[in-house]
Amino acid sequence: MTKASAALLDVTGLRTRFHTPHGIVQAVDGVSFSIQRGQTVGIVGESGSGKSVLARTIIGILAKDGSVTTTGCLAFEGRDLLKLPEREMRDVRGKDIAMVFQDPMSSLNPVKRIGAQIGEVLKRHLGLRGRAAETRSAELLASVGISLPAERLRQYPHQLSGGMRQRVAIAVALAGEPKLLIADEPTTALDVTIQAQILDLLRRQQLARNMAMILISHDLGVIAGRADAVAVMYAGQMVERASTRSLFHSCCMPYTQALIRSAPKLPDPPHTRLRAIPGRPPDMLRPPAGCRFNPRCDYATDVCRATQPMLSAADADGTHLYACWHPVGGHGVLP
Amino acid sequence: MRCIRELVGLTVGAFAFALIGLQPCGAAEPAPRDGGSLIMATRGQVQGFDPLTTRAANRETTMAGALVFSKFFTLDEQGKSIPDLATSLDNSPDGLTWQLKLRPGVKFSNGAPFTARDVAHHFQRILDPSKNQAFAAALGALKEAVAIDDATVEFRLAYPWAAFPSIFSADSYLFWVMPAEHEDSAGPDLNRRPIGAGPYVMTEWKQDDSITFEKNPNYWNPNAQHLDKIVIRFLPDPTARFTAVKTGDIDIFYEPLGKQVIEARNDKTLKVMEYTGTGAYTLNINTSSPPLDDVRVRQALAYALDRNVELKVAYDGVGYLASSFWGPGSEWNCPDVGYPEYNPEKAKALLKDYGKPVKVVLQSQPTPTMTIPAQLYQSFWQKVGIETEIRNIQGGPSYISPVLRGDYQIALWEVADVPDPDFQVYQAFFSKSGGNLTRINDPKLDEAIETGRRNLDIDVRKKAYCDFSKEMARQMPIMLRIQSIYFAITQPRVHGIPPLRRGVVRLNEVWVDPK
Amino acid sequence: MLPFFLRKLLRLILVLLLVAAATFLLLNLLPGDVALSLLGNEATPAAIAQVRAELGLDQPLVLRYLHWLIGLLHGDLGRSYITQVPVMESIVDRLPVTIELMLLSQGFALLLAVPVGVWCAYKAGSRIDRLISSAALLLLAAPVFITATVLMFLFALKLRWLPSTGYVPFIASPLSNLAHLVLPALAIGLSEWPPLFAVLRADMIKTLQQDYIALAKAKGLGPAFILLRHALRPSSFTLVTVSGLQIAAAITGALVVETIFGLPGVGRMLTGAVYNRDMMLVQGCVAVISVGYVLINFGVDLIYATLDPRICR
Repeated sequence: MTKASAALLDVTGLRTRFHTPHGIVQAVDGVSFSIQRGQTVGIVGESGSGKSVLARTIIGILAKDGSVTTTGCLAFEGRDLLKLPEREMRDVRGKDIAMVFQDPMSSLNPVKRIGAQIGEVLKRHLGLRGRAAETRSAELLASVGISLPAERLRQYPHQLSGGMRQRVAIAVALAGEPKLLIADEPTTALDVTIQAQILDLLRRQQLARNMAMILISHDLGVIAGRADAVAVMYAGQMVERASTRSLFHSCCMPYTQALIRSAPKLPDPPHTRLRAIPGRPPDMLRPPAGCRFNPRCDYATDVCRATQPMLSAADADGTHLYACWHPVGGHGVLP
Repeated sequence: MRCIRELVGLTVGAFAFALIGLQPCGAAEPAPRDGGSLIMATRGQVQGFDPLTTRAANRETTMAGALVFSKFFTLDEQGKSIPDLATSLDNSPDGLTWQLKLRPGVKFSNGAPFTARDVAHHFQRILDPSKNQAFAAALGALKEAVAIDDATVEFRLAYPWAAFPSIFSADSYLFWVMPAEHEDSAGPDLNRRPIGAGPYVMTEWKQDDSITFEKNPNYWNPNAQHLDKIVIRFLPDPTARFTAVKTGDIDIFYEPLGKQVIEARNDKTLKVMEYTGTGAYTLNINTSSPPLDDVRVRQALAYALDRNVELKVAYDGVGYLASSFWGPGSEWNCPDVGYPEYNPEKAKALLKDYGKPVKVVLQSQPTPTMTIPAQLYQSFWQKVGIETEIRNIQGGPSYISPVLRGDYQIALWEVADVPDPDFQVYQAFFSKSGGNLTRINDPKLDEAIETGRRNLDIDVRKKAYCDFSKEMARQMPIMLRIQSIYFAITQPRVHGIPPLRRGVVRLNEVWVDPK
Repeated sequence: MLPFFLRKLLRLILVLLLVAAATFLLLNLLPGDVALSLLGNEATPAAIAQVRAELGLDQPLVLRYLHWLIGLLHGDLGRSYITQVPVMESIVDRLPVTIELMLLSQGFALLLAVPVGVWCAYKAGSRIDRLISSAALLLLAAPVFITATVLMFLFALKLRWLPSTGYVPFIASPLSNLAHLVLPALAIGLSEWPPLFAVLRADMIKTLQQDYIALAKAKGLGPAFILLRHALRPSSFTLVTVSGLQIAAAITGALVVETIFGLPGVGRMLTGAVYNRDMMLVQGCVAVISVGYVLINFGVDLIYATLDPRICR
């Protein structure tokens, strides 16, 4: 994944810091990657690894009251979104970049009708009102697989099932016809039976609209087969980045390896015990020195505890990057 | 205003007592103007017009009643009696029978003639002990009232009663005569549907808000009716009343605070009316409760008080120290009764003579007008070695009750301003009276009270009440504080308010400049 | 809907009975006696006994209570001990004043609390938020009579914009009626808005952390639109409850304000009635106030249903 001038989004050295009363939290710590038009990039990592903050940084919805600072570069179609005035950024949000949140229970406004929640995007970005907006909203609902779309428009979120709600959320995100869709754990809150449907819906829409997508999950199994490239995050840092195929075939980071092992596989029979990664994610107020994964790593040595490894290439063309002193190499196994 | 004060000072003597700001300086009173309306704001509410329903009357009630019901005789500024609804009152030589002649042609506001039958019926109703024993007692010697003919009422007394004639010029709700049929038929509504022979009729009564009076078309003396409309509004908050009189929302502010009086005196857009009456703010002493049963202790309490400090602190210096119930402006005033002056040494000497430590309980109310004086007394008495416990009791009835029962030691009180001394002293200080609040039992006092009550010679009565005051100063069953003093602040457009005797603003002949 | 209604009605009756009983007991435990307040200083024990007999006060408590309850069922609240006016008539006379005062004051409070609350939640933690929050706390501590006196001094005496005291019925002159009620309503409103402000601010801060607000931002919507069209409604449930309670509780403010501004309302009548131990009048007032209280709560439930579609099922 070299920097291509044609890249839709080019993220370079992105840092997001939270200024809390207890100290500074480096939620996103020097992340770089790029995404092409129509490409899907998966981002994986345990909860607290900074995936969601990364997503919210890209779309620019973190607090503006000075408690959060962001540095680096977020070039979207050549414009640095971080330098864009808030007013112009509002035109980007919902139109160029849209987002689907984890829990459709909480991401849809409980006291607003569904029609209004879709309609306000159409009005804001496409200037559609009244009957035109209604027709378009119904079309959107139909396109995400909701039956009786015209009636649904007059319903409230609580009148729909969880899966239906997530479809509505996707319709909301698609309403502005975005070039980039950020799906932040879009299936985590849903029944297992629904998860595949929603993921397939996203994939279908992404392909049909030639839309780029950032698919965020803690579960590699969700990403496998649906992303062109995968980035692995740990403690705010990107520790491995590769094409999906390369990652699953020959992952370098012991953390990635652990993730691959712990992922529940959709084909697994129910109630299969998960192989959890031992230990807990680091305290982000006081991250460990050296490699941040070292306290939980089976291969950790003194160098791991002293010095942070840089991202380095695992293959000749430099598309597979990892940050580790003791890459697992041959240990990588297909799930 | 100053020249009026000096003028009054010249004619009356030492203190200005009566009317200040009543008439414009130097000029003769201009001719009254007819028409217009006037609003007076008061603290309390009008309670009603039927004494058997209200059973007691505050000053607001008295003022409202004075518009609807004329008196039989009115008093001029010198206190002389002038015929009103009645033309004469004559007594038999033994003083037991009195004949009241009514003015011919007088009508009630409903057009019915005002007859002796109505007057007699009213008095009989008040006297009926099955209706209210308290009223029967208040009318003392009066046995019955009988209509001799249409215009003559005969009053029969059990014994000669010197104060009797004064009831016919009293501002008392007991003498508000309504048509006999109305009194009999109106039932519970009588209290709120007055029909009188006075200059005004009540046209609207908004409970808790206001009461409105308009000209009585059947009044016998149209020359004395000037205003078209009079409104008495109830505004309990003194600050609100002061604001309202300043902005002109109201014309008369009744019962201002001392500091408001001082402020208004310096305000050229306002007039201040002031009247120092009889009656006084007092400290009642329960003479049956040791150590207060010893006259030396009572005297010591009085000598220890620096009343001038109280006047300054609690009344903003507005008012006069009392030495008897009847102030310098009263015809009953007795110049030198020997009331104790501030003398802490004498107080200490009396206590030393008494020889035991003295501890007293002072009953007060948790309101600023009461707590400030109460704390002052505590500190004065402390200085001479008397320990004082202040017992605060909230609100009217619960405050009065222990004093009536005799379950108190010292209590803040007020002796009311009434038209004849007999009303003040007989019930409260006669040893055999049921209402003997201080439980005093002194033959000299009893003798003076009895003489004042029964003797018809005014000079004998005056001497009797002088003796009474002197003996009171010696026996000290009641300590005197400030002479009763009444204020009203008015807009300059208001004219013709007579002196505020007994604190009553008499509005019936008032007139106003147009706004 | 019908069972819902019946349940409410049952509750209303129960509350009324309890309140009536409690008032009855409390007033009888209070020191003081209507007979004494009628008779004043010169009361003799015989006269007091007579008055008590006339008013039926010599009957046992339970009997008096039952008698009053039976009257209540016929819409008859008895006659005032002091004025002999039917209690129902007095209350019906004064109720419009108090209701208007309460609604206006609550209107003022909301008019102040909602924009300020929304703004402070949006700027939570900033200097202006902290400043306003402490100012609100200060106002909360300021007694109504102080606020009322200050307002009167400022707007009636110094600026002469509004009348200082008094009341004009709405039918007689709507404009004059409002002019007379602005200051009293503002005085109550100023002491009532801080709690409204506080709950709205707190709820709003919570709401602003919800995902659907993040989604609204992600839609490219502006802050004003998000605050007013997305966040306000779901943040106002507590506000509505507190506001409902406050309308009812405004009667305590009305006690003070009606007295100061000379408004002929229920509060003022109740104050006088309590002072005079005019128990008939007090009972009547309390009964009417508690009915009003329950009705307001019922109204709050209805508003809830329109605010939150999840409730109406």
